[in-house]
Amino acid sequence: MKKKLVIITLLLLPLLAPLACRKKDSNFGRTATPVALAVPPGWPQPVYNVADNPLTAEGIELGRKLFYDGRLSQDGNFPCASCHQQPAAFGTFAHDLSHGFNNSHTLRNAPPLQNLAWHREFHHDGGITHLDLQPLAPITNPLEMAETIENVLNKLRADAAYRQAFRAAFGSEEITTQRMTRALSQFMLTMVSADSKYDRVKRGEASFNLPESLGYDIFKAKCATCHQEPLFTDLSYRNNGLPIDRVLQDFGRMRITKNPADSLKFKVPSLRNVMVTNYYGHDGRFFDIFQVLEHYNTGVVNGPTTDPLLRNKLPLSNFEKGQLVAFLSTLTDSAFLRNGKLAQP
Amino acid sequence: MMQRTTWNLLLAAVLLCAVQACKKTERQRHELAVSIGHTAGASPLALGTSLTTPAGDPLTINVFRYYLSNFSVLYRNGGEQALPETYFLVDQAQPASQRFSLFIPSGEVAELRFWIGVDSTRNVSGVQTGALDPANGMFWTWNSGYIFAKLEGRSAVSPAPLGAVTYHIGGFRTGQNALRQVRLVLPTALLVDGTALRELVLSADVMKWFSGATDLRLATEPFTMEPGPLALKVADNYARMFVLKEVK
Repeated sequence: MKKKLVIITLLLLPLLAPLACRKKDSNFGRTATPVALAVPPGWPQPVYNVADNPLTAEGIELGRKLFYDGRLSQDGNFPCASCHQQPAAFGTFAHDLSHGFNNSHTLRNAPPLQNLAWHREFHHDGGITHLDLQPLAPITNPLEMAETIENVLNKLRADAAYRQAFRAAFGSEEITTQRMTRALSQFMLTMVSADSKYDRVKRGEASFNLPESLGYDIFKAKCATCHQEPLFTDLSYRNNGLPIDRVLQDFGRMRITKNPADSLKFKVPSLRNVMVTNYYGHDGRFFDIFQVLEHYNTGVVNGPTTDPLLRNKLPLSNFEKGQLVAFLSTLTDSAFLRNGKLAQP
Repeated sequence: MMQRTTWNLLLAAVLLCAVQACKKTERQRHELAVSIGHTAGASPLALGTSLTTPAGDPLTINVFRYYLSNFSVLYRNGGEQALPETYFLVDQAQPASQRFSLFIPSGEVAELRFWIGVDSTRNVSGVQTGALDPANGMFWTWNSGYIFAKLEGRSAVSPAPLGAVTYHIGGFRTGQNALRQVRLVLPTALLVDGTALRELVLSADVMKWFSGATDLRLATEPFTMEPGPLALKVADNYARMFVLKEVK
């Protein structure tokens, strides 16, 4: 009887082999709760590959803790959230150039953070090639958070609460650049803005009033090629005729590609939540939305790389400007701006 | 008593089988060690000492580190074996980084190939780990991409603040690609079959950074910290810095 048992067990062994051969996986044994990336109906497929970094409730929560933690900066005063403020759609409210360490100003206006899963490149010049890499730029920039990656990791490693949070999110207490940035990405991927009045109109749950509806027609005729729906950007780099600032000397996309054809081109910004993201322009040179519209009406400077669509400027009457602003106001997503899950923990 | 012995035997059998099942079914791989010595001309490189470039410029080197990646071996009877996941950060200040091991299928190795730098895929695939961890300080955060190789020092003729000489070389985009392949042919094919530990002893001359394809003068080109024309010139120069000194 015993012998039989032994033989049977031996026969069953090959079935166990796959178990024994399971690849060592840092996430092995994780109990984190999976979360699906929200893809609003009718939107294109996201660019971000969540298979590489599956969202979990614990990962998102860790990312949120990191996003709001000043310890990611050298002097403790500059968390990500210092420039990326929720009421301004995670841009900087009423600022031109963003501020950083030791009273410094950066080259540019902090861009709002929303719908990042659909972006292939980041920064106004597209210099960053992956969402996970993005946080390393402000963390290490001496004008922003002015810290080293190694110092940040060491501060986190010294904190038992963080070790616990990394264990909950990734299965062990190991704190690495990759894990930290993946957690930040998980949180940032939840910053989906798709519940403005415009979205409700598109879903048939609301309707535009007359100025909004007239504004939408003007938008579709004059703005929508670059500010393409549903993201309200085509994610391309264009020169919209802004003259170069003599101090900043910011040539935009050409800084990255070194191609003169990219001189003064900047990534087309999304217009979602545009009414709460003033100042405007890559360097925040416009105080309000009417200045922006006036730029298109009369201010466009024609240079070798100015966008062909703007060669003859973009004539807008005062009446049209008013209608446009009525429409643009429907892109304000107050549920997003007040979402408690995105607020400081 | 009898029962316990039986179960112990059974347990041992289970463990043995599990180990067997985990053995890779592909051809057995054997260690091939690679060691790299750094020189400045004919002398061993020492950080912080006074040197002279081939063009006659004074230079003191304080930092010298670079990535080697995507190794492959060519066998005498033909065929190239790529060795995936081979990324090494070699650092003059870290002697341990100057010796590492490749694991290759047995055969007579006729040539060693590798790249100085990091392939474009790893430049655009998010945050990597190990040798490629951006925390190693070999990564441009504002213009995503690896710094393939770094040489920092001082020169009395450099017009930069502190007389700094700063060559941060990298770039993977079209027109900026600083990735360079090195091919080292062995004088006679080396049998690697696991019977003895084999080692390739390489030498890299730091002075090759400043001459070869283009002669560089520290008074006019003391620094580059982004992809671009000077980075390409330096990469074309340092692509020739490796020689095979010895086969053990």
